[in-house]
Amino acid sequence: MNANPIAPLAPDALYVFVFGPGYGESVVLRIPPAHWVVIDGCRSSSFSSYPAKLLKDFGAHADILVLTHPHLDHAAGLDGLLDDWKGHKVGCCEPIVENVDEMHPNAQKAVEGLTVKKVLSRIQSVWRKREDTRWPLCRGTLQAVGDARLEVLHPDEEALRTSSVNGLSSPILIEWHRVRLLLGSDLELPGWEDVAASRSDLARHHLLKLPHHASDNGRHEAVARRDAAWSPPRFWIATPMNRKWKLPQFDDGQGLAQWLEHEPEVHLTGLPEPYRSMSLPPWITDRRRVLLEGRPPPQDSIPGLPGIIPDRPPRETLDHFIMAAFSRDGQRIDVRHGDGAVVIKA
Amino acid sequence: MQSLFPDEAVEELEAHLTTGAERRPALKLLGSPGSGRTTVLDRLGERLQGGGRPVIRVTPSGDWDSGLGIVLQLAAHMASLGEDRAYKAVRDPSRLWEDKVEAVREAAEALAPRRPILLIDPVDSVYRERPHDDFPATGCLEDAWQLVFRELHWSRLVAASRDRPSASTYRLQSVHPGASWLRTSAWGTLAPAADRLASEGEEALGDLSPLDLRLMVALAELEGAPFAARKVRDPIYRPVSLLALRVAGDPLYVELKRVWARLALVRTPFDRELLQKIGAGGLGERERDLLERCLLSRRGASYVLHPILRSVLRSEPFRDRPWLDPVEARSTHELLRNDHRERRDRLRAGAVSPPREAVLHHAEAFHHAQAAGDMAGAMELRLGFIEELDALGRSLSEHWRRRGEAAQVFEQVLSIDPDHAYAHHYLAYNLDIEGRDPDRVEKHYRRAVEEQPEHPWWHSRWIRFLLTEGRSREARRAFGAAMAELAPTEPHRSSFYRQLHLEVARMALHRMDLELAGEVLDLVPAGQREDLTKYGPLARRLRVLREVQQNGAVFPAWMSPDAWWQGPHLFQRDEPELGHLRGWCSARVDGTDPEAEIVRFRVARPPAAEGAAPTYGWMEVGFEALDRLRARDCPSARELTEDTFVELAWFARNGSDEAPVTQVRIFKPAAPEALPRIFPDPDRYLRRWRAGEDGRLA
Repeated sequence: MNANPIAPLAPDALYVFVFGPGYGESVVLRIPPAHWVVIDGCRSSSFSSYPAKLLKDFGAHADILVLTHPHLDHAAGLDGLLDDWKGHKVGCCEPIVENVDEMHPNAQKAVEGLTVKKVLSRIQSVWRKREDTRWPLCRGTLQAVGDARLEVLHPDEEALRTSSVNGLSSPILIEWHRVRLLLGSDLELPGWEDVAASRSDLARHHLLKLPHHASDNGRHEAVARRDAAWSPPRFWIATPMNRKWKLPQFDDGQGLAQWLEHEPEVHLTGLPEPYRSMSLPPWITDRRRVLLEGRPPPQDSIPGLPGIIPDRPPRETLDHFIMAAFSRDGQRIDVRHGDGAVVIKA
Repeated sequence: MQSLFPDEAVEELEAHLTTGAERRPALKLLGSPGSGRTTVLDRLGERLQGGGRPVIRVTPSGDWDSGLGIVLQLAAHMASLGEDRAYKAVRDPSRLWEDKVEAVREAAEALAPRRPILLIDPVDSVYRERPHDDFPATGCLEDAWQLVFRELHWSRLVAASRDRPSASTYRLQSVHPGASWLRTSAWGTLAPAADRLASEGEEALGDLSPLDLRLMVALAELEGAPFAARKVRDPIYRPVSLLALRVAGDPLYVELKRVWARLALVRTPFDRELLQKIGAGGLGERERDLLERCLLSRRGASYVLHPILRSVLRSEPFRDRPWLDPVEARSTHELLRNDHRERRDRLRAGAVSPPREAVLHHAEAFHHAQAAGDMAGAMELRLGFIEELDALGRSLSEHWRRRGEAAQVFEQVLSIDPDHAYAHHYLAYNLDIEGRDPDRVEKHYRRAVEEQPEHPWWHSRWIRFLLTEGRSREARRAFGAAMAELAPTEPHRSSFYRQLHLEVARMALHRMDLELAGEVLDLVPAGQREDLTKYGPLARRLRVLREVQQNGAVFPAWMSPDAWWQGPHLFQRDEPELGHLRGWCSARVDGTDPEAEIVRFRVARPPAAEGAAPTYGWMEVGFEALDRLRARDCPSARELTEDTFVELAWFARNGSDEAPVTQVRIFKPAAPEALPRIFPDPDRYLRRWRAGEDGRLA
């Protein structure tokens, strides 16, 4: 694979890049002619920032940067993009500060909590230094970039006061000519109830970044069900969460199976497996095969135990992404998958 | 160097100052504390008064304002001699320190034909207790010495206990009255103790000064004469320290301790009226005797608590356990402020005293107002030095935690002297602590660095502010600028690395700027690292965070990275029930799935050979399999919680064909190695943002 497997870009198309290396996600938009929007950030052991690497490969700078909620899997690596910020707007969620520092008995927790605080601090300082960059994320706030319009769907004032961190996540609707993209962030059901009550067009989209790693709890009928008045195909992308409970879930009746009741396929940037064990060429498969074959085999055995799935060496080219390009009339004109990506058929 | 007893010293110094001083106009009377230097100066002053030449006595406070006091008293004296230009300049609040010194210099030149004689009281405590180097009044003291010892063409004599300032020196021999003095002096209720001490310590007592003898009598009264006699020759503890320890540790002497501590705040001779106000009237007879016959000295009609009885309360082990709580300290300072202000007013109204006396009380009133954190009172009592405002701001900020008022004070300094680096820095710092107005914080931190780039602390706080804001790239540039400015001339003192490198590295660790933290710590020379106690913990935590960021945590945070691969940590190499160790690994529970009955581990095996890297990976184990392998005291797999750290080790019997047996044990949770606390709270701006207190961010 060459240094930039995605170039060149068609000058008059809207490009969406969704990265998700297993832990964390980032969405980057290229809005014609040369506007770039970064929504959330993620890193892996190969790249300290996926969006930064992409922008560097294209020699580009972000015009808008957004942190949809203060969790490490959406914040990692954004601070570097904000150094010497020359962009237009920085959108930020409510700055919830976890009470964690480097004295935490678990250094893993320390690293995660401190990294989020650093990103929030960096955003705060950019806002302070450049008043015109402020974009507090709240329902109904809008930003224009090129011919596109970004609209925040959540949270409203009530949710700002009462919600958990995920409940503060900001889904964003992007409209460019006839193209509608819905980026679901990590908003879960109670939040979607609010959003659905405020607008009825959530199912009308050309592209959806599934909320909350395609979990059961992120799926709301108002988003997922087909709208009879909407004929264009819907392109669905999800990012995995390879920690703790692992998302999405592939079993019958759970997570991905529920989403696949509405569309024939979901494009995953990766499986919810350790990043370093799954950077394989893109794979087109179905849900049940993932359950059977999706996990790399353990290699290094310990007596009496199943063995260890060892890490693979870091990579040099971008992986775990899905790219989609749209023309002004809403036609999807290109789709590409990075290594590690998986297309799940119903 | 000529050694003289006090009587001889008075004679010799008088002769020298009146006849021979033209050749060597600067003299120093060197003597240990309690040797009688002040008494010599008192007597000398009285004798010189009749000689037709102006005699000017200057009494530095031995505190932060010593330099200001020298210049002020000098100017006030000269005013009383008819030369008042310097006094007007010194009292002019719009004139900067350098102007005031210059005015004093010019006035002194004008007076030189009258051949004044300048006597300066003991200055030993000045050198021992001066504030941090960054405090501008410290520089004022240096300037004052420069003026009186290098530039004035007057005859002058300073009493000192150390080499500085350099001048032609006479050594004052202490008078050692010996045991017989104990028997003949008036000791009141302490007489039996003094008598027993004289008997028990006859010979050894001959080496003690009168002050130390009095303290030993007190010790004999409190601890018994045999104990005191044994301690006379103690090479470690001086009598004053022994006595302070005794009084501090016994609840019987709580009132004496309180009065001693309150008197330690008094910097000038005082009368019985003040002694009563301080609380001496409430003491019982025995405690009153201890106070008046042992702790206090008489100077004419006044009392004095010797500086060593003041300074001992500011030294270890009392520094961290003050004898007065803040409320009582403040009330004492307020009492002293009022007392000195009243005395000043009485002197002014009566106009029977030279200005110097009123000015002395005025300066003391200001000192106590600032020490009490009385901003309004201190402002009203200012004598006209910017450095007084520095002290007031410092007191409000450091002692009374009233950052907003401190900031106001430093703003006032800058309204007079816009280039005052100290005020720029501490205005920024006080705003910064509160997490308020970061625009101004940034502006004034920057200005402090620009005005005084040779100051490591100004750079350090500026860089830490940048890190607090997450501005890594700027912080790196600022650190580079600091090194470019400071490194070429820095004599590699440990304080330099402590103030700059360790402080910056600490904040960089907190902000996960691990690359910067590493670079900064690498610049601390190897020879300095052992002396810097914070270096080791910072370097170790950096290694932990780097490894965790790169590979994830598999060891508990309390374990030093040096020990990581020296395992196993929870097993012996030979376990009686398991056999001989064949292998081990360390792991962290990343998550459990109770429905699938699986525990997921982040796991690492130690390097296979010297110089090789450890092997990291993931492992999923079913509850049932894990429960078969757990040690007896381990919770069941279902009970394992996220972020539990475990060790797995497998064993086999030597010579046996049996398959190895694996066991799992759990690391007990514990706090990691302590790191220096970060102050101010690094999340202060975020907290204000979250609380909606930063209006612009809402």
